Amino acid sequence: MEKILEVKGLKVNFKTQGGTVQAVRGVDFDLCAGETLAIVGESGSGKSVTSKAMMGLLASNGSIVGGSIRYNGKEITTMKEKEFEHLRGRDIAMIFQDPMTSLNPCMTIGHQISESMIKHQKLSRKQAREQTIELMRLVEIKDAEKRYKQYPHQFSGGMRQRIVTAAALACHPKILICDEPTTALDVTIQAQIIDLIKSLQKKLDIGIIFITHDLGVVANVADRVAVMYAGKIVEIGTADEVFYQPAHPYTWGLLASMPSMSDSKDELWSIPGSPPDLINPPKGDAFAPRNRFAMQIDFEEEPPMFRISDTHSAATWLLHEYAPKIQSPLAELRQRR
Amino acid sequence: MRKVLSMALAAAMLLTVLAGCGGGNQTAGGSSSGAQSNASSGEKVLTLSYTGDISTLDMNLCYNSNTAEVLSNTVATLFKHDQEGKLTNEICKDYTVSEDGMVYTFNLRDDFKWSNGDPVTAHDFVYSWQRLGNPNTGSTYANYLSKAHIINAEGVVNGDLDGSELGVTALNDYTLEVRLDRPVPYLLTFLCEAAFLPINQKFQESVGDKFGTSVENALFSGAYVVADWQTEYEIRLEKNPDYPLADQVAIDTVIIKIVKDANTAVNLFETGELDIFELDGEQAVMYKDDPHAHAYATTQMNFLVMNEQNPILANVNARRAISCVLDKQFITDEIYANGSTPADYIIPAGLDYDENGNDFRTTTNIPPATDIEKGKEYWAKAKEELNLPQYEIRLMIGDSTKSKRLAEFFQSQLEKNLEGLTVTFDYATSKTAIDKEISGDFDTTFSTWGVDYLDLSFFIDMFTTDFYANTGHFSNAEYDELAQLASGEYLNDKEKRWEALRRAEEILVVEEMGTVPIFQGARMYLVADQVEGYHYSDVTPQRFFALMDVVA
Amino acid sequence: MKKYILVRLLYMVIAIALIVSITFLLLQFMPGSPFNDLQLTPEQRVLLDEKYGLNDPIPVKYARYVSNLFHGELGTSFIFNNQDVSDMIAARMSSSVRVGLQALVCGSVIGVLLGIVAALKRNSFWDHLTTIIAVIGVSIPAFVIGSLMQYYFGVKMAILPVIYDKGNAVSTIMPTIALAFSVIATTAKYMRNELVDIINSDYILFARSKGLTGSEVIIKHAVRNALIPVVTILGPMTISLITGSTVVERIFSVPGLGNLLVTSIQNNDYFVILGEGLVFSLMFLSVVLVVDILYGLIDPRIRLAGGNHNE
Repeated sequence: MEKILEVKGLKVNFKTQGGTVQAVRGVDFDLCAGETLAIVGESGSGKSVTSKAMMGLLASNGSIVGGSIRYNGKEITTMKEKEFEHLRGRDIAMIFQDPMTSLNPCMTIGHQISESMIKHQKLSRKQAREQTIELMRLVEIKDAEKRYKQYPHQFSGGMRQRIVTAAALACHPKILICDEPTTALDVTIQAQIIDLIKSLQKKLDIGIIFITHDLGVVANVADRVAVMYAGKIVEIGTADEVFYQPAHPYTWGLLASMPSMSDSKDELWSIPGSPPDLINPPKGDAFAPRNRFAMQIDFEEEPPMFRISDTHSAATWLLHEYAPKIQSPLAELRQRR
Repeated sequence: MRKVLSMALAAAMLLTVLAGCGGGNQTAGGSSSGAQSNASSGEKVLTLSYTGDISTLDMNLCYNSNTAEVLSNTVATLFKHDQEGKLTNEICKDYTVSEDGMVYTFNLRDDFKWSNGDPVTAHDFVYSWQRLGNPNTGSTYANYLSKAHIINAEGVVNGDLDGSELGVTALNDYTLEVRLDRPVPYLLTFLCEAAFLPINQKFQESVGDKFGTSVENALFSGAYVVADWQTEYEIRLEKNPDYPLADQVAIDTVIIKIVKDANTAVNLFETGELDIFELDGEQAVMYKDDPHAHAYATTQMNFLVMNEQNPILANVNARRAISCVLDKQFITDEIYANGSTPADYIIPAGLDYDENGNDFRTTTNIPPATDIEKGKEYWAKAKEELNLPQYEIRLMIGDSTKSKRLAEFFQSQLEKNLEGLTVTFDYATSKTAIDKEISGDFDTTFSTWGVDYLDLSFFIDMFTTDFYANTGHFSNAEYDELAQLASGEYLNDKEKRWEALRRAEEILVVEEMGTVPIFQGARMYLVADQVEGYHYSDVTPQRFFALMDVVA
Repeated sequence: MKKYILVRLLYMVIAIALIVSITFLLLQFMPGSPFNDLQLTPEQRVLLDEKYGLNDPIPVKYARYVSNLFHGELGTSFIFNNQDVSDMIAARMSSSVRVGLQALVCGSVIGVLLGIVAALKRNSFWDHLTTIIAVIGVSIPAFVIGSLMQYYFGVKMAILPVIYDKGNAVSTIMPTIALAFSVIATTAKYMRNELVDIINSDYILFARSKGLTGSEVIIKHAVRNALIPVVTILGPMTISLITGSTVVERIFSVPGLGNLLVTSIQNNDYFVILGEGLVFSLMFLSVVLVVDILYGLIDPRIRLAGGNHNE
């Protein structure tokens, strides 16, 4: 599989009144055509920022201060706005979390879907309309002909997310970034949307970056998973590897705190503490203060990525040859349940 | 749908703006021009402004001076005046007066025409005056007939008598006879008033109530005709080619713009778009030394009315005290600043002259009133006589800047010099002030009166006991008797009359202080260099445009 | 929709009836009268009051006025003897409407443009300029602006006509600007705030993510949507135009409705005051109605609120 996206050492900073926030502090990953990479992490981990950096949609006080992003071999980080406008929609597209607010309430959905077609492919109104109706059928919107002229408020949440998806895919981009696309939807609709995205991926052979904080969704959708914490990727691997052989204590924490129906206990397991302040990030492992398996070195020096397999790596000193062998507490937890 | 609507809306708006820009040349003359002769036609144009529009072109209903001026310039009557205010003939060829001075016979010229071709005849005068007195007409100045002492005037005005009983007859088409109930020394100048202008009966009856409401509903016969009247915007007079005296008329067009704001008018004068501008209030103070400023004396008097129903003001010493401490020079120079002259007398100069040409005013001997020390003495006496716990009087005054300054000055002068006296203000607009004055709800107020007719008795009559406008309620038996004699028995004896009036004036403003005269008014105008012959007259019209010229 | 318009029209009629009636009543208590000139003798005043029915009891006068109204007669003026109030008002409409409409159109267009620029260039020179204009427009009264302009542009620099001239469109510039100032101020501020809110919204980000250029996004999405609520402030702005007109018309000698209103109030010209009150109310209420209908038409959320709500 060819790599369509290569991210190396990406660093993004934001200038705020309180100081400079180091939102992304050196991130590496790749994406191949047709595969789904899930980026998981809590709020503030830098996952959204990473994706926005890829599209040049950072807020005005944000800037890429280091690293590279290559799309099909072309370096993105140095692109001008004009070049980004070419890239967006046509090569890389994005759908956002809240379908209620992602659509312009005063514009017909048909128009909103066909906008990028008209822009990038220079189609005529008529052609764009035909293609849009096709797309609408693709995302399973019934009565496409009639509903072309309707407005967002005439659709339910799930329908709107389909519209958003159609709009994003209008020009058949190679990469689709989904930034928490199901978070605002009902659970039943979530499943529908996820199925839709999966089927679209197969049909259109697009690479998907799926950003979420919900591991349950990840399991359904991802080929590979990257876990982010405090602006860095702490663990990356195939879905199986990350779910069944997690190596980073943070990943353990995430997996353990997933509520399960068979939980006999009333308490939910959670990771104590909160993420660090990224204006003055700690010099060691950012997770160390919340890590009950932390060692002295975790507070002194940041761990590098340790290779576990060809596809699996984790940035934790526990993987160092000198570190004590700790078994993941998950096994124990799973037994308890 | 939405697109079509928004585009339609935008188009509509654009159209209206464009229409507004393009349209507008519906007026008769297009845009106005300054006083420079129009290069194209060599026309002489005079541009001036009024602060208020004329109210009508119906002479019987005319009630303000602007209306009177326009009407008098555009409708011919018996007499007009020259630049010095002396009478000149217009329609009247000559006239005779009976021995007892109570019958006047006017012989009219036969070459004056109305703008519809009809000749102006003596019948037009009769019809107009009868209509003036008819209560149905609703004329404010119907009482002018009584003031002219035309026989049966009062009966007609009150509706008791039919108009035909009025003492005016057309002996034939061009002879007018006027019968009076007593000699009227001021009759001729008085008949120049706009109320007495002739009316074409046929025309007026054909348009009924709408007479005078627009140019189409009016007729003209004077030196000028009203070519256009756009209410609250502009009045345009044009030289009347059919005027028998047209060769004496120099200016071709007079444009009167209605400009309510004084600053705006000043700006227009500065840019040359106005030739004449009347200076008043703040502007007068600002411009009084400007080389273009000219003052013209009038027969207006400004005086302080004191309501003698107020216990303090009922005391003659209190009134004398007030008279002594008011610095009238300051008022005329600093507050009015329009050329008015301070006055300790009530009968204005310029009304009557003896055989040697001496003005009545020069034959009297009124001592100067201002004397602070004397004032304090009078006030001390007054307080002794009154013995009141406190002394407070109200000054009723309008709320213009000038009025406020006057009020403050009045207060400071009185309170400073008359110990224990407090002056408070009662600000009232002119409409409510009049009602209050009549009902007696005031203590003191400044009053300005112009004469209705140019007669020495006018101001004296105002302070007689029964006069309806004697709102201060001054009353003195000797004074009343003298006033009556001056307007009755002595009418044909100038010397006796003058003597009586001198004595009456003495009683009023020296002995009894029934009023405190402040100044004799003047009007000040900024006159552009190219205007010649500018004047101001107490005989209607104030300004007779036919006498003026515009020289490039 | 039709039903809505009919109901609104009914309310409008009721509102105007109330306004006219209340104004009528208040005028009866206004001190003074059109005929209180000290020149008039008391007998004359009685005669005049009788002729014009000024001494009749209030209900009689009211009934007379209302019945005349139904015949389309607004009465005659006392000051401009015997002139029909309806003629007088009609003659003045064109000047007032011309200047007022120009002020409204120019003002809102300029205001919108300023607001857009201010929103796009936050905290830049343009943004601060817009704020300054907004403060000036709202706090400095129109007559101050008008007088200053008249002096500087009309006299000192002599580049614009000092007063209004019916045949000269250039003479409408200063009165229009004087009136438009508050319109520009309100519209600019409003537009800027609306636009800033919208620019920060998600659908703008989504539109950008589709590859639309910055200006395309601004114009097709942001400005279009921001304009809709701006329509709602047209109503209050019309009011400020009407009230501002009294002063601006006086300074620039515009023979309009505002000018007439001041004159008639100063002289107790009752029927003219009532007639003008009627006309002004009608204008304002019509603008409000049109704005409401327009708003319903151009905002699809409102237009289709009652319509289909499919899955």
